[in-house]
Amino acid sequence: MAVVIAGALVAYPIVRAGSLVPAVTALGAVGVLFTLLALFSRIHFAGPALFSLAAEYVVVEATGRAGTFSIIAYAAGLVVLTEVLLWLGQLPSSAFVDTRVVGVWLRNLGLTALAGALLGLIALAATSFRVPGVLAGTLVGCAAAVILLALPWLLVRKRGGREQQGR
Amino acid sequence: MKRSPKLVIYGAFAAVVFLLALALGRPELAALGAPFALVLVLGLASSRPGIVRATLEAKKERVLEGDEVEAELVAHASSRTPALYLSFSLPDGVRLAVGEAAFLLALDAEEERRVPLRLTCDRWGAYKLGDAIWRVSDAAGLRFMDARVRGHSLLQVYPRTERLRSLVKPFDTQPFAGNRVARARGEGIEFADIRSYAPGDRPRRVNWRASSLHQTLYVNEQHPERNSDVIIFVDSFAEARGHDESTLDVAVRAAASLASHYLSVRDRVGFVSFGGLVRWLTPSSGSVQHYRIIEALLETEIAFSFAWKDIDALPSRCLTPQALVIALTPLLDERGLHALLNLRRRGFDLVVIEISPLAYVGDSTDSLDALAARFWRLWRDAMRFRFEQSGVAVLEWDGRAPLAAVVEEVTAFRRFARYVFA
Repeated sequence: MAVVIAGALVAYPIVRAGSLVPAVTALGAVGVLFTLLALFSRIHFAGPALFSLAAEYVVVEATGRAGTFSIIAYAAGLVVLTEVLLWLGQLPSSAFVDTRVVGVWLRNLGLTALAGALLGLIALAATSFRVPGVLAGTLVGCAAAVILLALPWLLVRKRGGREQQGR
Repeated sequence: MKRSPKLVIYGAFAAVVFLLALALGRPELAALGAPFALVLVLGLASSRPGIVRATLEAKKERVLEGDEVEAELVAHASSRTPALYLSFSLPDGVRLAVGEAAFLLALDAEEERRVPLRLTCDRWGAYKLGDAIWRVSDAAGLRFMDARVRGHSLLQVYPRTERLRSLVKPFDTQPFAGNRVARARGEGIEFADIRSYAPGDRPRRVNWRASSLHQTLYVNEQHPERNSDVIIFVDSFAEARGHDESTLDVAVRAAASLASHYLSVRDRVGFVSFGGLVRWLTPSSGSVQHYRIIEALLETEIAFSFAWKDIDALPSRCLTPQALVIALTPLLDERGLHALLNLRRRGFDLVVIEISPLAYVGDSTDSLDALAARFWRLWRDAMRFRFEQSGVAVLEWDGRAPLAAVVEEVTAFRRFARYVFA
């Protein structure tokens, strides 16, 4: 499953790369290599695989060769691939695996992909929103980035504080 | 609570993509990082994993070596746990009949999950089951918690016993009633001799045929039925060990077999484990003593020690006079041999079953090794000779041949042995 998804994620930017085929193919090969390594050596290469595949797409996207809505499918594919690689990495090599675990994980994976695609769609729709003026745009963008980046940190900090209070 | 690599990867990826979208002026790139940011936000907002209780319990407390026993894994989680990884570290000698002792389970809040298992008990011993490591993560797998559980369930694996047709008969008996025909004369069933009537003899003991022949009263004499004391002496100073078995394993099996058979004929059986740790049981009879001896055997282990130990370390009540001492020794440590010779000099009826360590000795092509092995074998022969000179039967047993054959050989030796106290 992971190999098929990785193959699709590698193939799409190469097809749309045009004159950038050598560079994109090289990035794609690195992505596939990391994916295979992540499958065999478990968790350690899931991150590099994700970044390589994303870089491959960003190159195509930044040069305006990617389709408008392809980013939604690509983002959903990336999140599914990373989830699969990380889950397989955590899975014990020889253990009794409860079917409920697999069921719950598959359901969560489907929901993640769906929610990710929806959020991608919303993000894409938000790009058509034009703010008046460069300064306002910069401020809104920075605020959005700060909020998005600060949110996980705030959540982690809040949980950590609760744990300390519990002790 | 620890952060998983997933948290780092997703956080870094979302941050890089959002910054790239800003830097390149292509806001649609934010859609690439949005699913990852969503997983982070939802995962960190979800409840943290709860506390897990996990036990592994065998359905029986006592089983025989080589048997399978039903067991149950019980796992309980205080909150909803989508993935609980449990890894039990089973002690050497006990394993799962099928598969590995690792489990990946899903539990609802306050759910108690029971997984039936089968354990194979390969080696005798007293084992504590249930030592485990568990790991739970939150719903998104961003944070996880590890813990170690100490097991409390006890499983006693009794050593496999062999069937014996006969037992080594002690030279002397004790004053208590039993199944052995004593050498002494007294009230009993087995005819011993006739003698002249003496005042006080019961009329029913008069031998009328002999009396009429000699024209004077003669009475019958019988051998009384008595029991005897048997001390099982296990030399636990040293052992020779192979991949899956050692001389101690063989000795413990032999000790269990002998104790069981002597107790079944109403003899009193005592136990001495003589080694780095000294354990003993005073001779007694009955099924309770059987369990005591087996449990003492299960605790027998090789405790490495340089301290010199002599037979004086044992209390006198555990070495009852006129007891038969059956020693199970690999003839590896001089202290054990010295103690046995000391016992012999004190007049104890001694039998030595030598648990042969030769089967565990590897082959070597090195001439120095071969010379050392030859010296060692000569030393063993010399020790054997010292025992035989004292009239002690020394029989080599490798644990593969039946124990009954060794017992027969001991009986044959003792039929002609010279009883020496030197």
